[in-house]
Amino acid sequence: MLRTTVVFLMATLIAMFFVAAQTSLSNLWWLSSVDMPITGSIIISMLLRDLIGMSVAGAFPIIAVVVAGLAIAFFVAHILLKIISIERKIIYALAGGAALFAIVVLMPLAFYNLDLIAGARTLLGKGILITGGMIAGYYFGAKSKKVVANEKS
Amino acid sequence: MKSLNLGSFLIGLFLHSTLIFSNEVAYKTEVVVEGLDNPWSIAFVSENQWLVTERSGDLRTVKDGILQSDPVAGVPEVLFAGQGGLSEVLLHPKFSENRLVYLSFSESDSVETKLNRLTVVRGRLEGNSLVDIKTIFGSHPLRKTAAHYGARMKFMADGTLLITSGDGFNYREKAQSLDNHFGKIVRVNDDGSIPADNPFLNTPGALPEIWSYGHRNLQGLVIADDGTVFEHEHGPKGGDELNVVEPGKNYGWPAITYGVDYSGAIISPFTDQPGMEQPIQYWVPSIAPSGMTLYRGDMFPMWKGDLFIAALVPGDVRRIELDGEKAINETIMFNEFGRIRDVASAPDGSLILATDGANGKLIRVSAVK
Repeated sequence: MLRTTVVFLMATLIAMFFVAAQTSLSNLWWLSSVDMPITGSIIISMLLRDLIGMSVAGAFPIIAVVVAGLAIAFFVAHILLKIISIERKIIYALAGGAALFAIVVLMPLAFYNLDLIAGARTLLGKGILITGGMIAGYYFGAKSKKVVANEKS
Repeated sequence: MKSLNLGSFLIGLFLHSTLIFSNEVAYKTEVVVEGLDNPWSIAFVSENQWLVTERSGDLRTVKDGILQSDPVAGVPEVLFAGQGGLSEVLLHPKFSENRLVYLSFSESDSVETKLNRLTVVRGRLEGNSLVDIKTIFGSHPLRKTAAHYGARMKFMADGTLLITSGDGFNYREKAQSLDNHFGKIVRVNDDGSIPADNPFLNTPGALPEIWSYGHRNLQGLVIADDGTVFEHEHGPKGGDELNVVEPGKNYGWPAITYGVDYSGAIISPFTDQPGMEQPIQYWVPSIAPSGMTLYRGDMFPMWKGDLFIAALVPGDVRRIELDGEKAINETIMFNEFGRIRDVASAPDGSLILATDGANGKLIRVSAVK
């Protein structure tokens, strides 16, 4: 249980890294395009501040949304693993991608199409975050404890 | 039974009317109208006849303090979603001669129905109907979001009309380019044509209506007697601004800001930059400024020349004392009514507050005689 919890938290951090980094880099890219004086120290500072800020300082905690999304998706994947034969890492990767898909594509539909994660305002941004969710899920599938004897590893 | 009615009346009066005595001025507040569906803006046809927009799409009339049951007919269909709906109502400066009323609202596009825009129309008020309705402004390009429309309007002394057009939330970067109406103040003639002295009229690629740019969600606009234009806009999480706006200038959003994104992300690490204007006042944390009036009345001589800004969060009115174009003092007032959507100066010198929400009220602030 402890191992699963730690691995889940690591998977959450991987997804959050993608969310924060994509947001920072897309903002920095645009700021640079309008000749704002972006330096190396500003890039590093913004990446770190966004990782922390988006985890704890938002009007709504993105990390809580990611935790909830991944938890639901991984639970569904866990159930599916018991009834279908599929490689564990693959189904958790798909689950992680689905969780981020729900957050960056479906959630805005409930908020008048507002993309509350700035890094997810473009198709490319959405794709990157969904990929981040898949990587987080793949990590979880690879590192968490197998619970069914006949699962493929 | 009579004494019971009298008692109920006195209790009602106590609940609806409150006397306030401060060191500076004594005033009373009374609920004039209640039961409005998201009131947004007030225009005074006369001392006794007011027009009030409900964001859900109706233009209502208040006569002698009584809300008329029938809304004004002929108002175009609006997109009532998110922050959108029927917004500003504004009378033409020569309303007594031409009866022209201007309305701003969000509306779905007739072809691409999932997209919408900010629209401004004018119509002639005949009895309880708007007739001869003409669209004088439609924001470009269309948007998918139902937020950040701006939608405030004011006439300048030369008869041209300023319209605030918000950044649409998802499109904030477009506030820095001149080929669109996101995050702009636009200036048109009273019939929607383009004034010959607009600042970007001869700028290649720029929309000729644009008067200033680099704004976010501008929901307060007043013009002082000397022509100074004051505008306030919602910041993101922190960074609401009160600006003095001049034609052709860039107010920085989102390249510079005092706020951060709702998600906690940094929008920009910069708060100033050459070529971008600074606010005369900003708020961190946000107060969500949602409407503004410049007090010119005689009822409260101490307030003359002050700005009153409605604030949704936590719900009050900010009185801003000015020294020319500088904000020198801020006082929090009327914080007992919840979220305030708009504040307006009535012809008799009283202030009218519009509370936000589905059971919106109009509250009169008047002097104690």
